[in-house]
Amino acid sequence: MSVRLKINGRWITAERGQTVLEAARANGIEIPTLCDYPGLPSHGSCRMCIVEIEGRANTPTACTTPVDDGMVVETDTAKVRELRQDLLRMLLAEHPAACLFCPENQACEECMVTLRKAGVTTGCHNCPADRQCSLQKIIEDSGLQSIAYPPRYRALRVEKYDPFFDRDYNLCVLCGRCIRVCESLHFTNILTYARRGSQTRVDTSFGRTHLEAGCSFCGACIDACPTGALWEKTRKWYGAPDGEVASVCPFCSLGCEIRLVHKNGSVIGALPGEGLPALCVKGRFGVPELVNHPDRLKDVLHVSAGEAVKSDWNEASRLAAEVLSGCAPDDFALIVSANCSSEDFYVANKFTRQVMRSAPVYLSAAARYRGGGQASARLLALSQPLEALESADLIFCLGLDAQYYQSVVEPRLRQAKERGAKLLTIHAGEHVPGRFADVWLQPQPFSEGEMINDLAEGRDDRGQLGAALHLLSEARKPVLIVGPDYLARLPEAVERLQKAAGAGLVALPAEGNLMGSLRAGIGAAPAGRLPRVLYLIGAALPHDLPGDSFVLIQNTHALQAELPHLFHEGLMLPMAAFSETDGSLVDQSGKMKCYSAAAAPPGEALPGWKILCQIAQALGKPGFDYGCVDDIRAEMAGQAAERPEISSPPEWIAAPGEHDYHGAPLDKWVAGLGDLQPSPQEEGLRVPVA
Amino acid sequence: MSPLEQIRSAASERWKERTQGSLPVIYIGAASCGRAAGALETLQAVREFLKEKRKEAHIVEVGCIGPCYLEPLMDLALPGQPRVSYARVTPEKARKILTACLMEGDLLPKLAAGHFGDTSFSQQTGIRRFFDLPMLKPQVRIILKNCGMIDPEDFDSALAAGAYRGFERALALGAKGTIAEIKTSGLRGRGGAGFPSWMKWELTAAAPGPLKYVICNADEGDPGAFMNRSLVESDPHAVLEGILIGGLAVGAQTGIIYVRAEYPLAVKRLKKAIEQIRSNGLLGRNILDSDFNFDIRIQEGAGAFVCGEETALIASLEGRRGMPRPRPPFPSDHGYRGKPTLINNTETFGTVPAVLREGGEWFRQFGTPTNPGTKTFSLVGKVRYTGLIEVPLGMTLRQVIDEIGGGTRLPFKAVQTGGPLGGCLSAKQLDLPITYETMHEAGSIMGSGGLIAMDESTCMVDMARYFIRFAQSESCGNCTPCRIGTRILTDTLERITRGEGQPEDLEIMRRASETMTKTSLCGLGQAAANPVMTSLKYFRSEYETHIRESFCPPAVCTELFEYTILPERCTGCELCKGVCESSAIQGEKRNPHVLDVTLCVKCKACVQVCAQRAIVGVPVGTRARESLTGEMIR
Repeated sequence: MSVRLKINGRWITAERGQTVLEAARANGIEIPTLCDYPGLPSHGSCRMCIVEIEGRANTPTACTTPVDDGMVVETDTAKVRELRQDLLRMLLAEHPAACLFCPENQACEECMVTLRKAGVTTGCHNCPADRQCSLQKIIEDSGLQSIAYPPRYRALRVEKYDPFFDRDYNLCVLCGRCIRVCESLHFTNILTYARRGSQTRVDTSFGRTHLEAGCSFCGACIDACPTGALWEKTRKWYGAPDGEVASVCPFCSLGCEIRLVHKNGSVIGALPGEGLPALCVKGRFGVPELVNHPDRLKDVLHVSAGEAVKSDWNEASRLAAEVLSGCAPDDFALIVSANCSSEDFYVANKFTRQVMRSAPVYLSAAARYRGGGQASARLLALSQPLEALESADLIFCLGLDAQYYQSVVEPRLRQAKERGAKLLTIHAGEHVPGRFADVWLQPQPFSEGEMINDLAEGRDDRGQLGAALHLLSEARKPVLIVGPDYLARLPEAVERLQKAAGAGLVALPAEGNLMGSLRAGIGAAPAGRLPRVLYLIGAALPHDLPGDSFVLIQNTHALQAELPHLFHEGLMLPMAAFSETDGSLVDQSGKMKCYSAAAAPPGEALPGWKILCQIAQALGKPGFDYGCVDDIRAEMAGQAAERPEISSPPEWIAAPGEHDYHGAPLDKWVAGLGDLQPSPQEEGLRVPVA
Repeated sequence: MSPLEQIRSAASERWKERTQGSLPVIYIGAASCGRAAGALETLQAVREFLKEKRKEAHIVEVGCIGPCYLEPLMDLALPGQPRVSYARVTPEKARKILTACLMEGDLLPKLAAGHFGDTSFSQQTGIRRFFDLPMLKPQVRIILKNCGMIDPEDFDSALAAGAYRGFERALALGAKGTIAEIKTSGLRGRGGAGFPSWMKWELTAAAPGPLKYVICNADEGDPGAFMNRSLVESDPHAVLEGILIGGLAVGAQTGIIYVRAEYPLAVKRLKKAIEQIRSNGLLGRNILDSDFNFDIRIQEGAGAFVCGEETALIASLEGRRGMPRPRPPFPSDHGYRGKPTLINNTETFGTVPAVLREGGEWFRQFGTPTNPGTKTFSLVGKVRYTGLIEVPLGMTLRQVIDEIGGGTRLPFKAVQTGGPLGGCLSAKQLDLPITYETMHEAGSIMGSGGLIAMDESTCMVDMARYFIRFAQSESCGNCTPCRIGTRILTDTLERITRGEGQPEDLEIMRRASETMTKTSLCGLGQAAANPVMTSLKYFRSEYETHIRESFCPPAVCTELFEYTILPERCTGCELCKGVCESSAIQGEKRNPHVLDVTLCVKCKACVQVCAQRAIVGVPVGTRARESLTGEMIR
């Protein structure tokens, strides 16, 4: 039902139930706000959107007043402007604002006389949110000239307890957006208001650290903050970014849409894609750390007799061609990481078949999967997107831990619970959703398979297992959600349970593009002896390499100084990371997702497929002259999807680590107690270090 | 005879047996206020006396009858005689009275404060009627009818006094009839805003859905206010009956009393009263054989003033942080757990039984046409007779302060109405009738009914500082104007009381106050600046003296005055010299004394003992100037 109301002398139509603010915005009438945030219910705490409404006492806020037929609203009268300015004066009395009314504001860079060399933010010029701050913008728009109220600096200690983001609540305007985002979008209550009166501030309950309070570091609060109070460490002092590029997070098979933020040609951060509430800690904070890491491989290197010598692409291609042309097909193997793009897979496949005519491309990840991943591949073929959880009346989490990694699943589980769905989980250790599941089955470590088999066969109907069986038998639309660990270790048991329960399935492999590799026909290659020439694309180096091996390492990262100790002869080929090239991957539900370059590759690095093409061309092979990924995609589109031959992988393939925080668990890492050495196993990130 | 009537007549018999039998009855006013004044020690002394003298008597612990200044009160009724009340009964005095009355039959008329019988007893004994005391005579007791008269922990006494007759009538009238009766009475919300109660009831009753709640707001957090506490401690059944009637009228199933945890005795008595009515079929399923099902529970608040605001109270009940939320939706549509909720103040519920029992028309005869009925106030401050009072609305402030309160000892200066969020009215406003509208127009509020009288010894700047500081520390911190506005006002006022005020401070305070009033989210922020704004309006010169002359004329702001002894007033009695802990006063007997400002710590002890009012505050440095110029300061 629609109503008509008059705003600033203009009659507009609005829907009943809308607020005055919504109606005004829908009609292009701007009303300043601080506490309003998309997706959150109106809160009315900043009072910035006060308006005059005929017949109403005082000045109600537009965000909390529902529209009414015949309502007459004025949003910009002298009275409203004065009150709004006074509210801003009040806010500024408690917000460092030295630069706002400084006569040298514009010339600060040249003068520098007023810039304080201090670790605290005293004004906009030394605030991470300079030119990105809602408060700054509102003040500039309001024409305010002075504060005129006695100022107070709250002198709160800046919280820097975790590696991801800093919290300077001296800059906080208590709009409550972070608290409400945590509560209503993420369904957790990590943040809350603490104390009262002028001492009120945002904090965790009982003043615990974020980690102790159970924060998953999704970063949604940072995105919601209108000021510089919450700021991620990696991009704290970059200022306003140059732009954003739509991309896809490659850190797990969910393939969350992200926006890569770049400045001066580098990626400085990653934000959730439009409409997504949050990412997980890896996606939100890991990208710039990864792609700007000092161990990025930047130069083409020729390793000869254990010495690495700087080379160039021409020389390297020529050398590779020389080695490969004299190589028998069964003396060559190409191993790819399941994190490469689908285009890389296609070109690699084509390279082994048409150039080398050797065994098919090996998938390094296959070594992690039981039986090379036959059962896992069958499960993946059934895998549905996360949206399948929305209509489930029972969700059974198998080996899933959504505390940090893949934490985007948590709000969906909580949401399902809220609407009445039952939640079961099986996991040997502390995990999310253990604490809020209806039944938490806690098997002994490494006996999880037996318990799942018991469930599938309906054995043992006592205790927790019985409760789980009862819930499973009552569910009309059960969905299993399988975490990376069980998918790799216990696929047969999961498959039995899925069949017995007739359940839908959401599989969450750790690898970013495992589905893409399967679709490209890349599985574990048949077992064979360790060939003399190895081409490793993002894959780990096998142990006990014979002395006469020739290794082509094509990777994004490498510890250059340590490499010569690992092999004697070979090439190091620098590869562009996902943020530096165009490409696509296939997510856990089989959906293709494309990403594009947000920054230039460092040094001489080139996209993976391009390096393969260069070598093929040096060998004089036709059909490797693609100009861009679109050319590859056009060729791929003409080909039927292949079914990979899956068999147990040869023993010499080094299994990559799961995408997890190796070494120390995240909580230790965050608390500063962990071993900060990066994992030697992290696939696609770096080659093994002895 | 209805089942309740049977219970009632049996109860009345038992109560009569207890209070009008062959034994003397001793009543002790043992609500929190009486206890604070020492009622429990007196009670102990009475017990020991009876044991010692092997005398038998019934002891009845009653609630608070109102006059705090007479506490602790002990009443004594000899068989066949009315209750005779004695004031300020210490254990020694109790022994004296009991010895005289019980052993010798002498009522000690000179010690008695009053009796509860008829005039013939006055002629007989020369003791006046208790309700003829100047403080009590102008009052009309409807809500407080039973307070101090019945034993709040004895269900028999409540029933004998007519409890639940109003509820029985409501059952007979039905939900619609009950609301109509409330409408006829014109009862307005006693929480402070004065919203017509019937309208709230009707909105809640008309809201869709089978599940509804009734909430009784007993989160009385104002400093200096104790109406709700006294009512609950003295007559809990009146409140429970009101909640039952409310539940019946709106069609609710559950009543919740949100009461401050700082009121342990009130909580205890409410719990006991709830058990009493539950075991007598007034709670539970099919109450009194009707199809009305209802239960009441208690929730203790954790001590936040803002939880008296209805939406914050509901948030707190739901286990969330007590913060107000914007309205609409109002609780009558979307209240506790999202269900339609009737939320009224304790006093409103306490008034409802009388309205139902006696009828709305009867209730309207008190008060004014737009402000019908009576209202309780806690009259405190510098008046002679402090206590809990109940007066018809429309009575003037002057009547309340001069007649009921007996006026102030020093010249009257101001009265603060409505608790910490109310305004300070000056002598010029004393002839205003007390109604919701006049209070609002004068810049103050009715509030829940605190009345703090102030005399010349009060500094208005200090007073405003005190109240705004309270509002500042009790603000929930959610909305900008309240959180920061109260802080700005507190800081500014603290500076002024330290003598660091600037002329522009007055304009800063005016503007901050105006912004707070016009833009705050809830009632707390909208009203928090009232003490500042009214004192600025009615006592501006006092602020100016503080700022321009760095002087606090009432000698309150310690840094803005020094004491001196006026030689023409000083009689040299040496009393002040005796109480001065810092030996700042010197002088010979019968000769004017001298005060050494360098030693004085301004503890005020000398001022309080000086009958000549010879010790006065003068601007800092006066003594020094005086000794330089030899000039005398008057």
